[in-house]
Amino acid sequence: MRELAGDTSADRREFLKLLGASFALAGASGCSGPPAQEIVPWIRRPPGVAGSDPQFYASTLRCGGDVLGVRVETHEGRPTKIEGNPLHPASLGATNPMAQAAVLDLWDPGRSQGILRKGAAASWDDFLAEVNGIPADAGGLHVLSGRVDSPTLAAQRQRLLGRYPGSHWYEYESIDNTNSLEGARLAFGAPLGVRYRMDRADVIVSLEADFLGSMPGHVRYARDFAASRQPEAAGRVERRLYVLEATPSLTGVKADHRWAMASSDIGRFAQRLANNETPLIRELQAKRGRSLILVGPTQPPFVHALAHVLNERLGNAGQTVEYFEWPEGGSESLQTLVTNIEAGQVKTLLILDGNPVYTAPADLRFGERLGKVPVTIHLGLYRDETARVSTWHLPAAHALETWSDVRGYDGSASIVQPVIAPLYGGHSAHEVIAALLGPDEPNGLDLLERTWPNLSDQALRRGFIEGSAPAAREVRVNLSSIAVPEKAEGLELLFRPDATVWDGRHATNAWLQELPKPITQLTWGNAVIVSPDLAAQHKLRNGDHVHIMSGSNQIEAPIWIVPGQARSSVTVTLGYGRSVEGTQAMGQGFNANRLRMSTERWVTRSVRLTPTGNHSELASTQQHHVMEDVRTPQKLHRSFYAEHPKGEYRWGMAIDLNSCIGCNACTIACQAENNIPVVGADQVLHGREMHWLRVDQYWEGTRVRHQPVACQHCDHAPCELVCPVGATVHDSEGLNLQVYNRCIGTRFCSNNCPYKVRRFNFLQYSDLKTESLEAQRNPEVTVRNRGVMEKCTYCIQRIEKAHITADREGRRIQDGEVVTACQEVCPTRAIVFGDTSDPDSTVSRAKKSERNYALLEDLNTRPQTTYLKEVPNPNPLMKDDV
Amino acid sequence: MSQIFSRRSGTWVKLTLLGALGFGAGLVAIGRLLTDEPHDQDEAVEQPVPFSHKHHVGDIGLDCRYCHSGVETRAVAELPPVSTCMTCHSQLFTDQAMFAPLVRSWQTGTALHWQRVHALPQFVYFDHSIHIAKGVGCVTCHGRMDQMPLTYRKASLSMAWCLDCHRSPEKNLRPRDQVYSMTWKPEGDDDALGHELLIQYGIDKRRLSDCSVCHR
Repeated sequence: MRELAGDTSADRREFLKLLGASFALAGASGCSGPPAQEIVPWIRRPPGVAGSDPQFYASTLRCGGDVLGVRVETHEGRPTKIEGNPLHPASLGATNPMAQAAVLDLWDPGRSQGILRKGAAASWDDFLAEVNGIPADAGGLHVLSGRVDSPTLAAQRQRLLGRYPGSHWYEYESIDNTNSLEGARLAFGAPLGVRYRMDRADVIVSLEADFLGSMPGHVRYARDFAASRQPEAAGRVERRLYVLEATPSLTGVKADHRWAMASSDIGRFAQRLANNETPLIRELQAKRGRSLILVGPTQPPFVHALAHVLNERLGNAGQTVEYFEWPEGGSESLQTLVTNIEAGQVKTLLILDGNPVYTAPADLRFGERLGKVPVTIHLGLYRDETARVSTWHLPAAHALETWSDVRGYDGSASIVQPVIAPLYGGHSAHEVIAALLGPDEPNGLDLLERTWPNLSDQALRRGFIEGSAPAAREVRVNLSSIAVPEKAEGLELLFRPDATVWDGRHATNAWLQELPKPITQLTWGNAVIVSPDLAAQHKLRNGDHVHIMSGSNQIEAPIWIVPGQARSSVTVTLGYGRSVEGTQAMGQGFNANRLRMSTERWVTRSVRLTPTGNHSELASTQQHHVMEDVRTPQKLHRSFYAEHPKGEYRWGMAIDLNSCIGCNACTIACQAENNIPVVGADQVLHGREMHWLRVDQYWEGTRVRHQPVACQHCDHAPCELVCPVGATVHDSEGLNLQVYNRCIGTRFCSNNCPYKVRRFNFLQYSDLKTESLEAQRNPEVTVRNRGVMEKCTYCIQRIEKAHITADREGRRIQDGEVVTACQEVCPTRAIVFGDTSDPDSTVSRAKKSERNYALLEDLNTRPQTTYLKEVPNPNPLMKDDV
Repeated sequence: MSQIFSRRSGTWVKLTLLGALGFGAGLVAIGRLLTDEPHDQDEAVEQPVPFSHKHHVGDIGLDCRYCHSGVETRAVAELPPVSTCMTCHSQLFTDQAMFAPLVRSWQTGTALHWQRVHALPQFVYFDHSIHIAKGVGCVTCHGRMDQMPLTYRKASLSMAWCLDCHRSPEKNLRPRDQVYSMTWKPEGDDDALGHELLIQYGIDKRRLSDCSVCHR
């Protein structure tokens, strides 16, 4: 992207030279036109390969803090698209944005591609020689991993600790659930896992728990939450969501009542709730056994303990909340590792698939301390910050290249199945541990079968192991007193995972970088989130730089004003300020870890904020593609446009805004399905992002109404009338088509579109040079070049596929046979698509709702996409204040 | 008052116009050459093994689907794996020089690189299976394969050529059991049978010339 921007420097003389050269070249090449294509058939067709048809494999992905069962679509062995696994309890067929983007990571040419010893190339045999040199009794072997959520890795941990007596295994996650586990320890005496039943909860009080956006299990929770709030559902009970939080989250902006409150004050609110001092308690008591109080991992353990007390008292334990034992505990903490390094005990440190040099809290000075370890071995996908200071770097295998297993939010285990051989010679964590355990340790599927001796083909096909979720435990709260800290004055600084790049592990992914983050709509960077009041007090505008001082640490960063942010809270998101050469993570945003303390990982009290006078433009898409003014609908007049011929089907879409939570998964699923290029921060600042589907945000006080907007496929489309070359035309089934090979790029259509959903390739955005990215693309969709207009097609390739299958079999296309990419990914099933000429189809029934309306209806464009109005359920007795 | 233009200026104007015309024609010629297809219509394409459809289809009478196994169910008809050739050629003609690449491929596991004869632009999505299912014979597009010693392209594969049939498909429909026949001819009034088959196959003519049928 950056090369494109720099390309304009060629002067006229240069241009003429090139022109001459290209003519000469055209003559010299024998005027041959496009090169001849080759067909390379199999020698023997492997069993199970179904020719050129796509095949799907069940697997599991860790994405952000969640674990999702997925189906991986492969075309002739190339993974091209991730879909949710409908059978998997955490996914139910949906995914989040990070899972969608995982396939781009796989093909990323910036991935680490070779083993390095002190920066020089080495081989796997060299590494084995090094490992074999570790004496079995020295006790100097230390392993640092991310959260051990794989039963197989836990078993290997056990064997490793047995094989090397005196060795240690540490765990560190930048975004973890330690507070939740410690809270359970306070309340029950054991660090129990907690899982919720959103489908059973009529009244939910969330204390900074973002269960729709970032908490483990959020995809499943979002599904259950949305399904239970369907206004048309039979036997419907009124459901209500209260959220208290400092910085707006997807859950908060969807709530019926949301109170902005400093993060450090939420504990005292929980105490008042427990002491029956707020009016809220009456509603909770009225819904005994059908209410739920949940607490986010960013709150200290005592707040979690208070919630356990409340849930027990309200009869919710065992009903809307369940406790279970997490089987894979038992590692030590990063702090212990640092102590051991200081004590000189660590001779060999193996870092498994993590980047602690970047993610560790600033006060641990982890990068410096790593220098004191004689041999450090780093396994990772990229030559990242940790790789560069390690003695050894081993390229890791991507999750789509590995055998493994992993436990989800509810403790159930799923299988990670490779769909392609390692592209860059990567190794999995299991293989590295196996190398340490010696030649008897199995690898791959054999290793999995050691953990799951009865692993059936059925389980591999389904992608998870049935009945592996730990049973819910009946526990009683045993708590004498809880110390609640006093109210603190001044500003608090909050650390939160980034909505797209998480703790930085997805920062190398261009799709996730360019995906607008919900709430801020920022792309390609992070900002300090401040409230409008605080900004006014310091006379700050969006993008103005401030210094944030916390103790002796200080950073300079641009601000972003967000309504609904608590006045005394400023929030920074992690994951930016990375430095990984040759990847998208380079030079974007600032590193918030430099202010983070190991004792105050989520909130730091008493920070100072001072404007610096500098300013930078942040690439937010909030004001892009602004539609025509919303007017009062007028009486519709007869249309003067000719009616289009009517075909056998009439495709249409209904989007339920009551269910939409604004997670942006649809935007990125569309990008993956339709080969939509990324454009880079500079181009986003010009308003040239290419996403066919945007999720508009309308602020209403401190709440947000989300509205996904893609091409509306108007029956009377304004774009079609102004195209001089007939590149955008109607087809007989009601689709508004864009014919790329006709388009000459006048952009009249985009100018005439009231919804602003057309996207123009101002530059050659699609990367046609990088071979591995070509392999990622969907072969069913044309890759667009510079100078061509594009837009949502209703996933015409999927319609055509269903059409051809049905026509071949001489039957009609069934309802539900065509599923668009955005519909398939949606965690809350907000999008339905189908034939509107069939009165019984799901989409026709949805459109019969009295909530149904068309966007900018008075323009008489007659869109095929309509929306179902959101119906919040505020408590009439409650004002938006506590 | 003197003449504004000299006597010569008319010649200059004519020359300039001629030059502009020549330049334009040149550009068109270069453009055509640049977008020219790699293999001409009716020009036999050289292959690693001089495979003869005439021999296999015309002389022996192999069914198309014996090798092109995807044709009924998939978008691409598919070239067979070498193992399919080996069902016969592990025994027949193994010592002939023209088979050397095939035998080498089989023994060493290195793939054969065939030249594509029927190439479509990347924005065209053609599907074999639906054409077969709706009774379009192989011959209609590929010509008399049973008479081709070396394979060549019989049709222009231009959009106009596609649309000819998509606008009036009845001209090229045949009973399903005759789709793979190289010699079938309709009896009597061919359009009558075509119209009958159009209804029998449930072909929606309204849709066939929509852009979306081939372009995505």
